[in-house]
Amino acid sequence: MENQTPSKDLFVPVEREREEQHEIGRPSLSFWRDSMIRLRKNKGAMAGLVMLIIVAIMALFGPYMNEYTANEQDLSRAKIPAKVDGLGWLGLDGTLSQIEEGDTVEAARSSALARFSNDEEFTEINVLSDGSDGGEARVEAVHDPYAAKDIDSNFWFGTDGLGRDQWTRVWEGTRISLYIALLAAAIDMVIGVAYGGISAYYGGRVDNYMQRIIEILTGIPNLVVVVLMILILDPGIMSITIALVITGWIPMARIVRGQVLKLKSQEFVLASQTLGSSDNRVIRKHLVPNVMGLIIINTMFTIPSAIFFEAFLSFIGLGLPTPQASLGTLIDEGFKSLQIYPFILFWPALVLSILMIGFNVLADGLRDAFDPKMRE
Amino acid sequence: MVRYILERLVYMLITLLLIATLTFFLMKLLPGTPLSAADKLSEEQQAIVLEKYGLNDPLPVQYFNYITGLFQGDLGLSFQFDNREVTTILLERMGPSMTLGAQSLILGTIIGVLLGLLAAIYHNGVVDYGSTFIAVIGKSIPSFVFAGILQFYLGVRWGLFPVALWEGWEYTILPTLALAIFPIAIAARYMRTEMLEVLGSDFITTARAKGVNKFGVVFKHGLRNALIPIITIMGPLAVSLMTGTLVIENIFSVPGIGEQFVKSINTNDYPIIMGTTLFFSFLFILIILIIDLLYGLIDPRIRLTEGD
Repeated sequence: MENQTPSKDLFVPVEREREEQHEIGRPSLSFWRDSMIRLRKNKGAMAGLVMLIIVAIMALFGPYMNEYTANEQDLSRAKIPAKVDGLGWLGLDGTLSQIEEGDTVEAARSSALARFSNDEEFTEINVLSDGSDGGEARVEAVHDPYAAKDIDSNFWFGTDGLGRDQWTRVWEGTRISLYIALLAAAIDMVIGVAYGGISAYYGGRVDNYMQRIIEILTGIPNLVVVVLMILILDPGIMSITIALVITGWIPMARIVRGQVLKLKSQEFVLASQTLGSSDNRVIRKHLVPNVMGLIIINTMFTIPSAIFFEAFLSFIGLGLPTPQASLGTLIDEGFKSLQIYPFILFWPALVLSILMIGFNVLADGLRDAFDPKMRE
Repeated sequence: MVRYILERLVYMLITLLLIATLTFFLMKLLPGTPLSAADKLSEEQQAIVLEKYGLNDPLPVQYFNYITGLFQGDLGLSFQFDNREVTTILLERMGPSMTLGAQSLILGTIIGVLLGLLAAIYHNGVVDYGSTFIAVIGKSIPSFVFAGILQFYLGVRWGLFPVALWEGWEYTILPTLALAIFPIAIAARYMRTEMLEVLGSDFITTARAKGVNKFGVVFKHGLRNALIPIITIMGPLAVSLMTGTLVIENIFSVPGIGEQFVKSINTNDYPIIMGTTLFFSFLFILIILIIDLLYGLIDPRIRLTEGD
């Protein structure tokens, strides 16, 4: 092919049309719609959301799914493991097993049997090693408490030390834990936003004094404040919530203050003020929508930390008084029989972990979604 | 710089005094006296006991005595253990708590930094996702749940490590691991973000262009710069470990300050509660101060006072 010099006739000027200039390349999206689209693309965050929805539904309806109640005690059926029909392959077959070693098979067998109060009828003995290889004889005893105690309806999560149904207790505990955490987070949000907003918007001396107060408050470890508050108030849902709120609002106040300070010196606020907007309008139309994302993200991070602190308080003996149970108190009880009956600890710990992971992952996703830098 | 430190120290003192005052009056509001078996004692005996703890004086005098005592390192007498000074009890129990705290902080930060580093180098690869997964799990699941898992599997089921108590170095392994999970998670996340940012900066491109190999770029140019911000998270991490030790020491029966604190809460031993509270606050403020100073010292881009 030879090189050709293009003739001028090949070029035709494009007729620019007026409408074309104003056409927008992509559909206009509000900040929120855009963020939600990004959030929906985030697989981790969506998984977290699904986990939370499932736990929330179970917390609402779980306790009504079987005939047991949370406080119905029956010592004869205490510490029974979980049994779900059809899920035996997952280990939820309602049996307890114990591996014992001994000099002879017989010795191992009798010590394994002794673990289940010598109940030979409902205990199956499997010899794992008869000691012929020079080692100790090992015997596994598998005990079926459901058959032994003649229980026909299953405990899906087993029972606790007093024979109460763990399924009902765990979901009622989840409900209380969630309630405390959500309430604390909501109050934190209100106080924090108001404090931070006022401090930043009015500025000057007000801001100065309000910041000194915060500075001193942050010097106090929240662990100490929470423990002291619980000691003074009588233990209960309200006092735990109050104790959590006392220090919980501070991070929110700081974040809101920082953001409002940054925003209020920006041109669009100045423009709005120049056009004669009132304080009220500036706050409602310009400041609040721009701080909203941060408030939501921070609240999402407050919830799991409130759940954690509530569980932590139960753990050090400052939790809810006995008839009530939260996930924390259930886990605390589980530790008492961890060595022999680990399943009592397992279920509340599992639900607590799912909740914590769900909130953290969703909060991370929201943070990414609200971040305009992540926009494609 | 000196002025800044002095200013901070004054703030620290005010905060501590405030906390001391607050705890003192809060404790006075609480029911209960050291006379747990009061009905068995005659009035005279009761008076003697109250006198011993200085509870007969009017409140302002008690408060004054308490605060002056604080300045002399005297936190009062324990109600629970006869005639034992709170200061001595705390000092005795500091060893195990400090050991656990330091071990888990060091272990956690090292593993976390390595994880974060690997995640940044193999960005968007399997290692990255694995490290992110560990970080999410470690950040979300409370240390006491981890303690339960470790205790049951490594301690009871497989018998690899002692389940509880405090009789030698191997007894520190499980509690240290349980406490280290959180620092691992936080350090890994932070390190990953920092390292990604550093690796994307111009001087890294320059180093690459000059022909420095990948190893040299990451460790010599990248790691040094990414490590600086890690110091800032050490403060909050150390503080969170203080919370963690309360529970972990109880689970593993470690004779540390946290275990004593929980016991004292359950036995209304107010002098110990007050002493520990102050001690925790002191530690908290001190850690934050040290971190702030260290940060300014290490990173020349940050100077605490202008013209310094």
